Amino acid sequence: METYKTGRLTEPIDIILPTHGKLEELTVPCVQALYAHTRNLFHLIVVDDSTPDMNGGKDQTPQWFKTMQIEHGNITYIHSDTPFKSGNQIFNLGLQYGNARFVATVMNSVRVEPDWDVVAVQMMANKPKVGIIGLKCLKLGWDNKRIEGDNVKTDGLIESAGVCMNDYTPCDMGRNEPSHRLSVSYPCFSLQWAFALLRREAVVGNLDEDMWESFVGWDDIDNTLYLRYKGWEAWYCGLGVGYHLTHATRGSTSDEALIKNRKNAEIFYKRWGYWDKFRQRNPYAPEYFPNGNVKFLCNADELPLNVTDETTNFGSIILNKSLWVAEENALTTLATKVAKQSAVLVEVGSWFGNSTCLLANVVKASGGHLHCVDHWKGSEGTLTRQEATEQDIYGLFVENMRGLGLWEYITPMVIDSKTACETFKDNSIDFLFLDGDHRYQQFKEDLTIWIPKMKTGGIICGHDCDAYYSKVSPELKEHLDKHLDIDFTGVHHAGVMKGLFEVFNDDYSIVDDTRIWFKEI
Amino acid sequence: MLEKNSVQTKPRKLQTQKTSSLPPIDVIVITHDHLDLTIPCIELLYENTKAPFHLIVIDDSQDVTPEYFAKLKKSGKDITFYHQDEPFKCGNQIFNIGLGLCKYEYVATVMNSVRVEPDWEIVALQIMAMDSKIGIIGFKSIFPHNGLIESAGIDFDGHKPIDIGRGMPAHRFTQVSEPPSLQWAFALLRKEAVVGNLDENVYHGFVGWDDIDNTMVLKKKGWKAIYCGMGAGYHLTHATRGSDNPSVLQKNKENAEIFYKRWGLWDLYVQSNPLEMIRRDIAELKAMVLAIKNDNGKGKLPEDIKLLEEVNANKVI
Repeated sequence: METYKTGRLTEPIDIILPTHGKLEELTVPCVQALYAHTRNLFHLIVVDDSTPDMNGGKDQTPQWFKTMQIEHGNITYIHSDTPFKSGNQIFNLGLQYGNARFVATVMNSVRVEPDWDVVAVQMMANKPKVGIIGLKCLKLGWDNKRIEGDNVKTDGLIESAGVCMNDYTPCDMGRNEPSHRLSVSYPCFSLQWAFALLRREAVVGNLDEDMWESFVGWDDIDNTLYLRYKGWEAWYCGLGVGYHLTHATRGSTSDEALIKNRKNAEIFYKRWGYWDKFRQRNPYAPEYFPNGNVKFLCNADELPLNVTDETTNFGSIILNKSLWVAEENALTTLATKVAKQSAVLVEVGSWFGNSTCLLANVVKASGGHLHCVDHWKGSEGTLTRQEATEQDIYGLFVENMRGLGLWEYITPMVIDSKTACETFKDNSIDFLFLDGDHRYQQFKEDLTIWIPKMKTGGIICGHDCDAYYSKVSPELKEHLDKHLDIDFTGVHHAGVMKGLFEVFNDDYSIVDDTRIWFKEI
Repeated sequence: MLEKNSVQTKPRKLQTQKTSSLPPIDVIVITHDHLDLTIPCIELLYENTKAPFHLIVIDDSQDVTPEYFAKLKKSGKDITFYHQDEPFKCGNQIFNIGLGLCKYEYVATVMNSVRVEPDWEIVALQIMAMDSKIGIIGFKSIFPHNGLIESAGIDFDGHKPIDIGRGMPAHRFTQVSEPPSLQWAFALLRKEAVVGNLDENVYHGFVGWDDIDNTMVLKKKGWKAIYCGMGAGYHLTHATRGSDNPSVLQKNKENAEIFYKRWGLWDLYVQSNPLEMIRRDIAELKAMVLAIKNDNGKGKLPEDIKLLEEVNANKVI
């Protein structure tokens, strides 16, 4: 598990704050929240195109920031009398005035929550391939716009926890879920830029200012995809939160804005391979750029997300990958030691094929053949038995092996361990990986019947030996002895530990920092 | 140590079940009538828990709760239902019965007034696995009526326990911390830490304080108490056995006194509540006067009673 510490300063960040009038309504509360709730040292870069005629001719944005500069000493204020043409122009300008490695984008319509920056900054420091991290946005100001009779309150619910594609339409993930949900991190298809953290190296030179109609959407989602196209990763981090008054700064619902929005949509669809889908569903929608002058970049759906089992569901905050990495290395190293042309490798307990693919890759690289023994029904009396009634585990195994191109290196044996064992001659197996039934009687029987099949110099090994049975405390031993008939107590595999002790005494090894045990025959 | 090798073996994308990396746990649910609370509690446990679990229900209901669980058990779920007609005397009695029925090493306590949120147990299980000294992990409890935090651990304001985060937006306190104490309405325990440590005879049952005390006991025994804000549930406080009748309030006060005295907080309490102390003295003295009078005047009035009469005459209180 990766852990992040609150209250720990990492390194100063730049914060780009675009402003466009609405000083009292948006900018002041936004800046106050930034100073109250940011834990890292920061340099605030305000990019403003407010004009005196805004706010009924009373806009005081430049004057207010002049005072703030004196008070805080960490503000750069950039002003343009000419309205900015696009969000990317603002970002590019802001980037020129800072030099921090990480740059946050915070619209003045955002009110950051306590510690919003802590985890995101540490995540970016830890993961050098991450180019952008989107933070959790909560709805604000929506309840004021409700039509009469609509009593459903949504302020405080999630507005966006990353962006995914639904066919050709980008959708905000987590929309309208309670605010405490999705407090995790995961790689994302795309992200909003209203409230995000960027890696300077990833974005400088990659933000096109002229492609989009200004301030009508799509450009930020495109920016994220473009970073991914350039090889950077995009992550959502739900441990940084802010309230977001959407469309409050420059939003418009005019017909003109709507047409501009559709033009931007067309550019986006054409750049990322969604145009055909869109046309199929909307045959009568106008095409604004019919002459092929929008350059196709790639099919965005095919961009790698770098999603793994760990990141898909819970992100880097949660799952402990380190143990499995060490076990992967241990298992591969053991198998590589004996794998050669004509070597016989056997795995007892293949299930989805997690360890199978490690061993099959060894066979692929060094020679031999892997026999995978499993009835794929789960072990009696364990939860795997129920899993097997709910889905076709063997089907998944086959799909995994075929998908990984490893099918030719393995032979599945869909029978129980004892029957499979009888098909092998004594002194015929070079490598055996035992990860089948973990209950004491069953495990011990497996171990006993397979040992004679091993060649001299071969390696017998297995999974889930948490510690040497002989070396645990008497209290724990008593506890383990009470749970020999179950697969796993939640911490220990009592059957494996005691079975190994009774068969080998202490004459076997457990690889450091893993639960992989082995013995050379 | 084994040497690393150069074989590239990382699977591109394996299809696995989410449960494959999580240890099985026991979940103790406490029920006392209120099937209206129990049914959503159980349904959400099955819907929102990724770890495989053995459900242990400890029940003293007089309603149709046993029938509900009998039916549920027939569906093939791993359930142990323990019922007794005689009402339980306290929470620790229930926990001790539940612990005796556990199969695994981690045990969640979930009152039937709790509705767990998705993936509530995942981070806590990871944290438990990281540090074998952790005895208990408390989760974030949220008020269902307004969606604000009910408890994100317990701190002490002088002598007084207070719920951390109370009334704050629910997305806050999404971190792991080590607070002074925790509620047990929704928590994850390490079985090894709690077995033998839950005294059933110290407190009046079901009027508060015993769970906070339990956490302190574990800490005194060397276990860590952790708050994990990445697991959450809605908690309808006092819904199961809560009451505000005078005898309950009196018992709550008595529990408080026991708690303060056990944990060295009594002096602070006395300093903070001078009037309460005078009221207590007067009540004691009145009781003595009554006892002496009932003794037909055989005993002598102590000096204290004279003082009491003076105080009463001056109407200080």
